[in-house]
Amino acid sequence: MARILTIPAFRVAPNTTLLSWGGITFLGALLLPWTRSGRDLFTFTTSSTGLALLGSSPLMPAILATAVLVAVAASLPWTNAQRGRVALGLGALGTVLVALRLFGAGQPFSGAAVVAGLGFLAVLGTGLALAGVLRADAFIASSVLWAGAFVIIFILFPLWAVLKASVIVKDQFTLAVVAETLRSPVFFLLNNPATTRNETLIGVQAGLVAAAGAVLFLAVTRRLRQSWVWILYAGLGVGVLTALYLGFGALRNSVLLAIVVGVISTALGFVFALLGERSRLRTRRLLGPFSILPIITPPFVLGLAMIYLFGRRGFVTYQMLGISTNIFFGPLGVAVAQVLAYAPIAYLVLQGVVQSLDAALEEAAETLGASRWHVLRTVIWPLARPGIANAFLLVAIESLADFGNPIIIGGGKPFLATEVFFAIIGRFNPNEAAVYGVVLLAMTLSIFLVQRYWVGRRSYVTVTGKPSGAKARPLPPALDYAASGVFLAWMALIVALYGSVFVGSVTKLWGFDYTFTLEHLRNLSPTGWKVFWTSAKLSAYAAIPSTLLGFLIAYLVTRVEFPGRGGLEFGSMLSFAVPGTVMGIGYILAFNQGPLLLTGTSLIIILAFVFRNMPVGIRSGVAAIHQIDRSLEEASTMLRANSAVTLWRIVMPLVRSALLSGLVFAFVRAMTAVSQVIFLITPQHSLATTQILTYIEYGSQGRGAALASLLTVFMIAVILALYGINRRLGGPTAREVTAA
Amino acid sequence: MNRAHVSVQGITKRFGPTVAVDGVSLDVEEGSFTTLLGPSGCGKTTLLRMVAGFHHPDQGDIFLRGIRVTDIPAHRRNTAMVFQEYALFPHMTVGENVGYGLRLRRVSADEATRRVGQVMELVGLAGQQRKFPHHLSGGQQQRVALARALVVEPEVLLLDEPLSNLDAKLRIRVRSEIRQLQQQLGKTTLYVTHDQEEALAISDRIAVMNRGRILQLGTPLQIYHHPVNRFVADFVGLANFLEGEVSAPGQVRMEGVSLTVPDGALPGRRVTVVLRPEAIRLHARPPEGVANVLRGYVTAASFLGTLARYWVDAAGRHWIVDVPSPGEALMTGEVFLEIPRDRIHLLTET
Repeated sequence: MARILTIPAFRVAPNTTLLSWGGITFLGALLLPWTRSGRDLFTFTTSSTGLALLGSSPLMPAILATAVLVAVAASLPWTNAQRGRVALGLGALGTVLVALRLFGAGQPFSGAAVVAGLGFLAVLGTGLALAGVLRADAFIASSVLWAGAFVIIFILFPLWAVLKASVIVKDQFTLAVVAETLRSPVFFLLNNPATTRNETLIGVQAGLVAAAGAVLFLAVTRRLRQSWVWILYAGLGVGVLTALYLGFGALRNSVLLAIVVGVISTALGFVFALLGERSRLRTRRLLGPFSILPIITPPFVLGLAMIYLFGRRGFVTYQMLGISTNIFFGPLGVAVAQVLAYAPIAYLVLQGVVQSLDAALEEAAETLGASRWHVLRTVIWPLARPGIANAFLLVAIESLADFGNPIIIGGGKPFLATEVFFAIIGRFNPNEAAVYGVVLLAMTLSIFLVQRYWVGRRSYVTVTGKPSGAKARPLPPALDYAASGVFLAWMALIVALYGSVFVGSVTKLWGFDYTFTLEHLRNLSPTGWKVFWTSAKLSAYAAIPSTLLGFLIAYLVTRVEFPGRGGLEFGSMLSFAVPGTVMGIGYILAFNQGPLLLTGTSLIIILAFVFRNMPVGIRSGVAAIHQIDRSLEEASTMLRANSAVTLWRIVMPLVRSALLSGLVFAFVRAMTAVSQVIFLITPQHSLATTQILTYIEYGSQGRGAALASLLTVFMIAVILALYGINRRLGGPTAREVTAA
Repeated sequence: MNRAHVSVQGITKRFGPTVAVDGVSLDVEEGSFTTLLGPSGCGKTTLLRMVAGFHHPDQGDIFLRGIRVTDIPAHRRNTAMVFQEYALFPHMTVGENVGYGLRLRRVSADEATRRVGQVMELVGLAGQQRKFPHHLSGGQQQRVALARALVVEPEVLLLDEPLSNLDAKLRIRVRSEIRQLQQQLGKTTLYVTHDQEEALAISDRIAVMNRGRILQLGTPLQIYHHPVNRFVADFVGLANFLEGEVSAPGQVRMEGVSLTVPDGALPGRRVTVVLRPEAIRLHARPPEGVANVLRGYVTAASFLGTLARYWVDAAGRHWIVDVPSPGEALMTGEVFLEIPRDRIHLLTET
């Protein structure tokens, strides 16, 4: 009995994980090149392998020796805790040495740096797990470190580069560029010297009038005492809006656009959500397909279509109404295109909100004497308010960040997202671009924070947890018909717009000569087809790591407790809030020189896609993993599976269809992305979306339409295939994934 | 003129092809506590929701104090409903929840505060007005829901399985509180449950429902002791059923046994004998000078505190027998069942 209890716990077999990582790191550092001479990633220069550098670089023997020591530590008969502490030290030392070597040399990195860096991080992770610092096993600990490193290098570092470029010019700290940019009339101009009126004064007056109106209203409704803040808000809000309306410049255009598009899209989205959940008419079945269409096509396709239908020689404006108008070139046209593109996003957000409204609450109000109107005002509205705010803020971020529509039908008016582009491409001023980027980032980021930490917390959880059995009350017929009418009108517009692009691709010269031709489609060869396949190839490459990394991070943040978990989650979700153009210049500024040189390669485009679309993977991963009862994993652990095995054998099969949907949507988003890659493309690595923009800019709209049609049809085919497969797998529908 | 407070007359409600309520009529007297009892899907909740005004009957009419309310929408009927999931407004405090109906009735703020305070005291939650519903326990939430319904002084109080989310002990406590409150206020109450014990404990009258119809309407004692058919006998309480034929007045013969039963059925008819488990007496030795004694064997016994439940094989059947206040030991082996003649209930329809 006593002998059984005293099994020696300190005689442990060699740790194979550590041993392998030590070996891999050693071999990689010894045999692979540390640096490369040009941009090309896969050049093998024997002169920069560890073996060759052994004599010249003092760091090289230290790095190799550290790797050998890891292998030794793995083999010695120590207890886990001892081995862990040693591995922890060696891993940290190795990581620092690799970083020193990389940044000390200052030359573009190559294979050995990647292998050694990741290898030492894995050793560090294993050490943390063995020493018991992290309550996780080696796989999880290493995953956390790797994910953290990726988020720091490919999300935080580029953003830091943008911040830095806005205030540091030629290694000197200066606020001159900031001041110059913000004072420029392109950014914002309130008091226009060309007009006699004083815009500032009018703004102040409007604010005062609004505040007075609020006082009056509250006095009449006898709520004056509690609501003085609302007077302040009303005055400030109306004052600022009036000033914006009267002003000029990118800030004014972008902010007004975001507010208007946000309000209209959210209202439409709410109407559609009500229809989808509570309509008795058949038209509600069309909501699904029509809400998904604008999401899976590049948003600027709608901009292009707007030109076709409502432009100077537009089919509706010129051919049918006989007017030649520029009215849709500018903020109005952009607003219409964005509303059409983003109302579905609001719909998908609000669909969940309307679904979760408990019908029993409405019935309870009714039985206490509340009419339909009262129920709407006192029950539905307060409960849906956080969701509505949420939808509004998401749409506002999308609108601020949108690049394609303003550039196509912005009519040359400045917008924040496009000014970032023009500052670099037109004015060759990366510092000015950075300032625009910082302004844009500050706005989207504060909206993101408001949405996440303020609105997010205010949502009401169902008090009793269980949703009641009461069925949703159908809409009153009058409202049902009116809302369905709105939806049908919206749908007709969408059909007309997409239709015009399809027709435009087989029309000789839209607006002038409507004869049928296959010329544009033929002209896609060779350039059009080539960029299309480059797009598809790079998007497919990017989809896999972005989904897997997204799911891994989702698993880590939902299931594992570790210090910095909130940070990892926040950092990886951040790119939701970062406009594509800002991330784009971030990548240019961060990876254009020095040890991390990546520009000009296809890898940087893939990386941009991966870290841009990872949040989609994270969201669908979190949603899918929440569906899995934790006890399944605990059961697996009880049966002696480590977390890698549990993840692979238990979690993966259960989230299979969510994973597939995540993969497809990462692909779709990459295929339709434009703003984050517009700075990164090179003639060899041109992409379909940017090529469409080029075609349109240089006047070959027909070819642009042809390529856009091709892209749209391809995306629809991909989504239909996903539907088909997922139906057989019985997984979530594509719509549920987009909503995630 | 119908004296009933709530009167339901010939009501039918279909949902697609299924008939949820099938030609039901029911009168509820003023101040009475009436329970609709039945298995799930029997139409009891649909009937209640038609009284509340959430469903419109396909046929038939509903009267409140003799006034036809069939076409009046829910919010203008003076009924108040308590829901299974309480349906408290999560964005309002307890006070605002309870005061909601008063606000809609344009009761002045001071008056509303006073009445909310009163009703909160009545349900034993005085001074909790400023809390939010999610701060309260399930039982407290249920009382808030009750207070919210009572404060508007409805003509009729409707309760839809209000106790099903509470745990067993609490359920018994809250149900007696509801009953006390109802008696105290003399409020006409219509109550829906699938729990027969709850129905027996709380009601003045019970309407047992199945497949959209009311099978029997009566006091709890009537329902328990004189069920009209096998379904009611089986659904309310436990029973032993024996089928046989009346061989002579006061005699029922069935396979292997002949029992002396109360008079009433004509000879030659097929009848079902209903025997509640506690109606049978169990003896270790054959009792002297009594009729209807069967010899049997105990196959299983279970001690339930206030009674012991035996499963006995006798005359080729399984019997369930409850013996109140069992002593120190349970019976085993050979036993004798005594079936008192006056505790036998006969069903003439099978």
